[in-house]
Amino acid sequence: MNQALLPIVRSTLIDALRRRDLGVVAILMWALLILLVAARMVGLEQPTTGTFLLNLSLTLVTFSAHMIALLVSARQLPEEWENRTLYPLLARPVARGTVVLGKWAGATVMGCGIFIGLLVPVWALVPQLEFYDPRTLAQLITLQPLALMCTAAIPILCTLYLQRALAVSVALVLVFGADFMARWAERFPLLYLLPNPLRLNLVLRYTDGIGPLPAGDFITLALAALLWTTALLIQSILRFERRPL
Amino acid sequence: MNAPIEVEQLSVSYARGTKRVTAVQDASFTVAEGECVGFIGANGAGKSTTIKALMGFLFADQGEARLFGRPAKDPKGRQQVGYLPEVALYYPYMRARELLTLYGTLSGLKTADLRQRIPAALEQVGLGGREKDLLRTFSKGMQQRLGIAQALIAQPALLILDEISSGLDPLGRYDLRQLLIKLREEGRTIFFSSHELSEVESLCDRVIMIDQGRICKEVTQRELQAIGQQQSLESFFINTVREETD
Repeated sequence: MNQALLPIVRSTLIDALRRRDLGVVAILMWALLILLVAARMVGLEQPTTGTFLLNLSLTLVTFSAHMIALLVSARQLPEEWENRTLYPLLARPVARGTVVLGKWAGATVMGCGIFIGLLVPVWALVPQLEFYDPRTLAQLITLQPLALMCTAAIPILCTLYLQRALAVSVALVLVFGADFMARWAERFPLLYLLPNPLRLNLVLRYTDGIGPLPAGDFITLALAALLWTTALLIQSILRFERRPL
Repeated sequence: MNAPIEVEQLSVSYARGTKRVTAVQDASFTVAEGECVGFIGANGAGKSTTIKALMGFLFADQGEARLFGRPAKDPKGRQQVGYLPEVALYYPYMRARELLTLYGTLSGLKTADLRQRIPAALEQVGLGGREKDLLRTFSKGMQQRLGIAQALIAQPALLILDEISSGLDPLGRYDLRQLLIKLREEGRTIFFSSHELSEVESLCDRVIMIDQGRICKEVTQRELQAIGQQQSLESFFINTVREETD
């Protein structure tokens, strides 16, 4: 299985890297980096302005990574289907589950690459005039790949049940709207069960200068993301294996 | 030793809206090692459905399709199979070399083998020197040639080719015919569907005809030659299908 997984991940990455949607993120990030360099050159006096810039930058980085992971993941199976490239792919001695895992892993790696690739320059450039706990930053960096794994798994499953446009919409709501929907969780407890990968986003905690999550909370969040990802992928594989092509 | 292709009383249906349509009914045939077999039928007769069931893309309602003795859905059965789909638009943002690397690696080829085989496979289908070109710049005919290259990349023992000459110009068809003759002489088993009956007539050891989901006739090369003296395969095919319909 592993031998077949890597070429699929690689092809997913090649395809994603040459598309225009990545160009949009690149333009956005260049604009942000220019802003940060300008702020550094001019020099900031108000610590709160530095915190605002840090929060804005890290939020943009996180959302960009999730958006790219979601979009890359959402187009994988529908495009294979529409262009009929699923046939030569599955004509190889490859299990259908491997194709699902490879596509998901490619989208996850893409999201993680965006996150780490942008986090480093942003963090280095933002003038830090207040104390931000490095342990919280470590937790933030640890939890984001898990959150991205979950984000990439949601559209894979959605596209196996719904038309592409509808699947992307549902995935967008589940990834970016789950936090918003959680406000009604007291009235509708089932909303607590939404995957909500952005629950693992510790940007605000970090920029507010709050210390790390207690170990129990941290492990619970990590396990919840892993559990959701596993459940979504198992259901995707089962669905794809039963589906006539 | 198992035959490369065995189809036994295969029935396949698919959903069209709320109805189930039976596309293939009770089809049985075998393709022996080294044989070149043509699979012909009108549009919608069930050729592609049979081939898809054989490749494990569609599931049988009844009966079984086997590749090298393994059930169609077993990926190990496809180890020695090269498959050309009816129409495919290969990844527009990939290069020809990257595409063949993907398919070759999935077929179990090592990097060193791929380095030799990719230029050779592209040369074989008339795409020599296009390794670094993005696939979105390829015309329909070039995509079909690339499809043949991906089917050949692992030098499979069995080739299953669906609508082989679709999208090819006369020169492309001629090149393809020469390639198939060479592959047949190398001892590869070839099973292909085509609407080009002259191509089928000139290449095949045996022809299987399908009409309305049922195998209606199997004709060997000797019978083909006898037919050729009286009438073309095309008129034989049309008469056979009309008899079946009546």
